Amino acid sequence: MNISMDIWTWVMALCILSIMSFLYKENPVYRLAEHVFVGCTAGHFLGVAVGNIHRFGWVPLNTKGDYHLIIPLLLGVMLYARFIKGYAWVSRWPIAYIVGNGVGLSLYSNLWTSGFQQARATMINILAKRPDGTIWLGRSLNNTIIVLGLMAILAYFIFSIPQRGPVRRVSQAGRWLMMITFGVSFGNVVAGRLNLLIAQLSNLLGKWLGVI
Amino acid sequence: MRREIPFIITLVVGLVFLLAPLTAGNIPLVGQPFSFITATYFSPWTTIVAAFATGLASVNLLRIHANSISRKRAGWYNSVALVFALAFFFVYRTAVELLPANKALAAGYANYFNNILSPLSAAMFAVLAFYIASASYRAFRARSLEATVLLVAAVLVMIGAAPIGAEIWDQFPVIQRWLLAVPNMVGQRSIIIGAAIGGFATSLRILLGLERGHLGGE
Amino acid sequence: MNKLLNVDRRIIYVILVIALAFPLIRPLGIPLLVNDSTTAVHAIIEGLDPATDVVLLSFDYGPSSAGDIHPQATAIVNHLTKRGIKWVGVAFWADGPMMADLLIADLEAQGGKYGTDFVNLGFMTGGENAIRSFAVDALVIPTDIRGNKTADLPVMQGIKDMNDFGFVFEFASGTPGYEAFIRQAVDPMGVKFAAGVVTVSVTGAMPFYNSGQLKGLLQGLRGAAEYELLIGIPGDGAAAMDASSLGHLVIVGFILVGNFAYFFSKKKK
Repeated sequence: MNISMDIWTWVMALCILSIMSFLYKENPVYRLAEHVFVGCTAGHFLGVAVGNIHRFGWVPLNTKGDYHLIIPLLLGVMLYARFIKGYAWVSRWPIAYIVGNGVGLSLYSNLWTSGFQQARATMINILAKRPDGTIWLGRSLNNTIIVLGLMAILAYFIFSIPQRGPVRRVSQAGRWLMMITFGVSFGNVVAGRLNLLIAQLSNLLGKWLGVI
Repeated sequence: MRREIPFIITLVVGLVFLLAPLTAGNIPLVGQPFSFITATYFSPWTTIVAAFATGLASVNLLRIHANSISRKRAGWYNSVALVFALAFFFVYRTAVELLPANKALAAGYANYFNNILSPLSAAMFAVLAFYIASASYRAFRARSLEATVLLVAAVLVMIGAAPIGAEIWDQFPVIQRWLLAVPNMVGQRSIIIGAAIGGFATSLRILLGLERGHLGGE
Repeated sequence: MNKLLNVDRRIIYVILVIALAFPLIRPLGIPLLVNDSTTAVHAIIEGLDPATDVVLLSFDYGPSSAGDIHPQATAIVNHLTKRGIKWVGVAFWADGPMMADLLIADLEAQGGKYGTDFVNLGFMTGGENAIRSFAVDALVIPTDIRGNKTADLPVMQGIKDMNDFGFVFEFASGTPGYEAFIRQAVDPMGVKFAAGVVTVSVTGAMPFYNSGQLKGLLQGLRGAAEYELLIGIPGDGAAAMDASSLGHLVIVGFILVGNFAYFFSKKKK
């Protein structure tokens, strides 16, 4: 064991341990750490926001004479009118601007990228062939699952037609596929959370205690 | 007017952004294409307005906790810590942003960021692993056939994704990759396509003023 | 059976910590297989020309997901450095520049030249709008994180938009992420793009890898470990894989024991 003598490493370790103390039970040390965490994050974001306003707004306005930038600076200030009683409606203008931008930017591109392009990627030949021309059974089976599976799941999500008869059977198949999808997602969530914990244990055991 | 002007702003800005990648010709009377308007004016404007919006949550948080301190509500001392941390990080970060050439200032801030904010944030998410472990033991049950399918898929993926899975049985990684690349891919693709269609409809409703929830109540 | 059903959660926590800590202290050396999606990223970087190609790295993650993604960033930067390929760092997440600076500090300590071999352009707010702005005009960010004029930086010479980069790679942990890049740069402009995502997002990224909109995909910490294996420079990813293995086994064990106890207690009733 080679315990670190660096003050910052100790600060890091204490921060990790104070948050993890919640696992034993709710306690004042955790509460304090939680509040410090929220404060630090909010302060960092606020500082970064000031930096962006300065870099993208204030500097070009003053050095390049981009006077049109007065408009977003004004809109930005108007956002804070929501904290002034009786003037909250003023903040609707910048919100309307941001929403308009988001909607306009994604209306077509999202449908194209996630709708059409994904649908196009599913329009594949079910019968896959090897380079020598023979049928590739495994890949053909996969292609069948991809094409029919997509239609089955989409059928499951169509609520405007009654789920009866053949539609019900198809959508039931879609439901099974969705269960597998959720199972795979759960498996990945477990892996992801374990990875985050491993990183913190590495910090404690390696940087702090020096046993790795 | 309080609702009409925001609607007009959304409509105009939305249409300009929508038409920018779809059209190439000049706008009559303006003499420039839509893409010029977005690249020169609207996009840079959004960067600035979004930066102001980023600070909105922090200011709101500050108000709530300043109120808690002034009224000495339960746990007010935690609010003092929060306000102090917020003020400290805000002032320090702002100084770094406004004086970017000062290397010592940036290095000093990095120490606070990497050894206070970073471990607190990382640990907060790391504890989720414990909850997942506990939930796996207590709640992840094969109560029905569908739940069993979900459970089996999850277990196969977990074993297959871990390097030790291949040591136990060399087909575990093959099954895991197949589950991820075929059934999971189809399921996710269906969700993506469904969300794209839903998103398109919602966006269109906002653009046409049928959906005005973002503008709040009267 | 009731005892098994009502195990104190803290016992579960302790078992998990022991399972993860043991292989960190005493590595087991379990071999690792490499996924195709990782090999695809490696092949793209191997195919770049150090004399002409500059890579764009988008650091869109923060400390909360760094355990999963930072080892990926380290591995990719190590590969670029090994091959002498210049890179430009940008971030559409507020914490991103701090993550990039961790790598830059190491590179500068090894003699890398900031501004010539690599640069950190910092954070641009606005999410998807910012990605679009940067995609059509790479000089939209006027100065880098150290206050240097972007247009004057040697590494930025000849770069006007995102297509001027030989390869674009995003370390993605949420929104805006790889989907925004695909919407605003890949599909409309044909940018050659791949991503490294948090393990939780791997399932959602698979359709985009399958459709070719993502040319490659690093799958969380495992993706980092695989990449370290491909470039021959072991790092945090490889070191964590044994712990990941035992952690997975323990969770699977919890699921099996929990279900076993549940069924037998039900049968008894």
